[in-house]
Amino acid sequence: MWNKVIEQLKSGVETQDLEKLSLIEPLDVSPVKITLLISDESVKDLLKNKYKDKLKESLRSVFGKLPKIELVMKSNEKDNLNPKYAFENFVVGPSNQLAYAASVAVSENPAKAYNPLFIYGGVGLGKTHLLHAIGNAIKRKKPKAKVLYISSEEFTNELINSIQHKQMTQFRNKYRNLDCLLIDDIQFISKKERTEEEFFHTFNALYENQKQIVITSDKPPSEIQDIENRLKSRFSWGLIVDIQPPEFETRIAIIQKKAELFNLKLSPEIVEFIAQNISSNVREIEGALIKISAFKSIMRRPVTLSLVKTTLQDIVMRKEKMLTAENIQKTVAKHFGISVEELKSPKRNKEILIPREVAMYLTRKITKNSLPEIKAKFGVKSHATIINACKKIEKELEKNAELREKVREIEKEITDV
Amino acid sequence: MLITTKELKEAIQNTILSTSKEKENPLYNVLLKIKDRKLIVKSQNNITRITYTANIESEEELSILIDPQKLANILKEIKEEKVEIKKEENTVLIQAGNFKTKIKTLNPQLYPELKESTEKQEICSIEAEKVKKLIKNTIYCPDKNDIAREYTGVYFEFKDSTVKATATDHYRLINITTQNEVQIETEFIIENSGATLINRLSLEGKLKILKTENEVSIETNNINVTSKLIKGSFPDYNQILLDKNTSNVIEIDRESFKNAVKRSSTMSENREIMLNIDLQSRLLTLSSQNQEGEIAEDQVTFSNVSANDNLTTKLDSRFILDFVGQISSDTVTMIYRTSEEPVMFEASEEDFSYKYIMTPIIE
Repeated sequence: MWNKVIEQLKSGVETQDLEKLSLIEPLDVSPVKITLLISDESVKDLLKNKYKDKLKESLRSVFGKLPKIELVMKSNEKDNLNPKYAFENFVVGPSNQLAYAASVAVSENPAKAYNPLFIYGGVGLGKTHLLHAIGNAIKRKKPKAKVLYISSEEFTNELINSIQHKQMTQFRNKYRNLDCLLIDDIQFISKKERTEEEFFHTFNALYENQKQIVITSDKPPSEIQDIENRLKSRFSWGLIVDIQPPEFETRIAIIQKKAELFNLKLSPEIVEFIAQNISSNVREIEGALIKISAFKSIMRRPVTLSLVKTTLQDIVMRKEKMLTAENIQKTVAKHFGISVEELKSPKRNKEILIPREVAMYLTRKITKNSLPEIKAKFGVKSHATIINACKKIEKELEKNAELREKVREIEKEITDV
Repeated sequence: MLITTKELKEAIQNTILSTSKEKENPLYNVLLKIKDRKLIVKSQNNITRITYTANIESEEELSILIDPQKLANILKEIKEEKVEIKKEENTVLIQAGNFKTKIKTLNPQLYPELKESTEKQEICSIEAEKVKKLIKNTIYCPDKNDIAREYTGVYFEFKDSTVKATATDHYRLINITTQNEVQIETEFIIENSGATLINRLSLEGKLKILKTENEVSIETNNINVTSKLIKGSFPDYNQILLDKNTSNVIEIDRESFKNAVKRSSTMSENREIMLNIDLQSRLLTLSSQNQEGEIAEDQVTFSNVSANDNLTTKLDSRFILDFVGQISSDTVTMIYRTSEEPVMFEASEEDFSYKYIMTPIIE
């Protein structure tokens, strides 16, 4: 029936209004009352003013009498929150407990505890999980709160669309009237001047109105390159917390929790095997469990250590390739700007000696190579050389922040596979 | 009224495929209607339904519920171009030339006519031949009696301008991909009998695939077939496919391989054959042995694409033949890791690419 009304109405409608009117959705149509779902005020205006008489005429002609008309506005408050991410299913360990505690505090007292809250860390460590958990917790307490989760990439795309369609007012109204903005991967707005500019004003408006802002990034604000200093400084106004890769015990807890979600019963030795072989990335743990779960359900194979080993072979193989003395020598040499030959040479000048000792330290720390094996790989005469090098570097790392950071980066590059 | 025999035959031949199997059930019959110069024949069972529509010249009206098997048998013997149908109280008179027969009909009110959903979403327009091939080359795989319902059907994916069909029986999994524009990206698991029905229908040219929440429909100019969908999600099969980068890859001539599997399995009492890949000689040796110790063996050469390891594994010869027998590519690629891990075959034809993974027989 509504289609007939629209068909009749179309003949008297101006071309530019056709699209808007065709988007009206009839919710309930009867000769007594029709309920229409409309997208915004402009459509309401068209129906109540511009085409009021024509609409009545069409309705009379189709229904034989004039039904009551009810207009319902579509809710545009999309929060993009994923309900599966909550504080309850976030596994807390020493590597993420500060970020977790700060996030809980923010969700309990938005804009009062820490504003902005800036969470940074590597991929797959739970930053996005915390953002959604904050949003979900706020919405649970205050269902009417205007919360929005958005990635900085989506923010940029939306901005471009708004500029193109001359809808900047709507864009600004949307972002500047929020109670809580959760923006993911802020590093991607670097070098995008207009986005930075718009985000700067959005930030200011929200901050001044005491609304909560939570930002995530892969680096701390000071290390995000090509981003305006005024933004960097604002990011530091509140609390900056990091999330580190989970340590062994937390990985065990994460695997157990996720296995429960996938309905997988894993023996302690399997859990341990996965935790030992996937260390840097929670997403990779999830990927491994999805793979095991697929084998279990599709091929109906019992989840044995052998199955887990074979299904994780890709990850393990990649890791094995990376965790060799040769790869460590190559990576260390690259970071210190010397060649592998130089690193392995007996030269004792500082520029060569430190990288060589760092390489020995890392080989001892992250590979399963024995001392005789390491001795052979580095071409040194005795085990004592390696043991002394490791002790020396350990001491250096305690007092030398620059070296500590460099070694952390190298280790991350080698183990983050 | 007069109806073209060929038209009526086609309507019955197609709709009979979707009737109930129990004779006492009204759905064992088809509903034959003539109205507004249209012949409409409907059939349905608890999984599928078909509506066949054709334009006819007669302006008369008719509505009968009739045994399609009887009608098909009668029509098979009628050589005249047209057949006359006349409804009497509880019978229908069928005449062609000097031949006439009277068969019983049921009250058409007994037939539960379902309203077609108005919320169908068009997924894509696709050649009937493509859809049939996607089904034909996957439908042998699912185990109809699997207790997990999602494994009993064929899983369809419509994404990134491709249509994929996948099925598994837990020992093997077949995945076929073809290029085709899609209007909405979606996925569903079609009931096994629904997929079988589509494969058996005489569909030609382009057809539309439409979906509601619980059903999928295939529409052509005169046939509209609908099947229920299986609720549940198909597991992420991509997780079990072998990655060429971390596996051994060899290429074999398909025909030679097929013949070698057939010949070498002749002595096998339980379809098992042993495959031995020797990279040095570039020979794939296939063999089987019976309980009396009699042996059948054959060899095929292969090209080493990127293999570093030899392999000795035991596979089900029928499973291999199911795959290599249905494709027409010149070669098949075999991807493997160890004797205890699944072996995957890949092949490509003009419009289709295949992935077929099977578990080895481990004693």
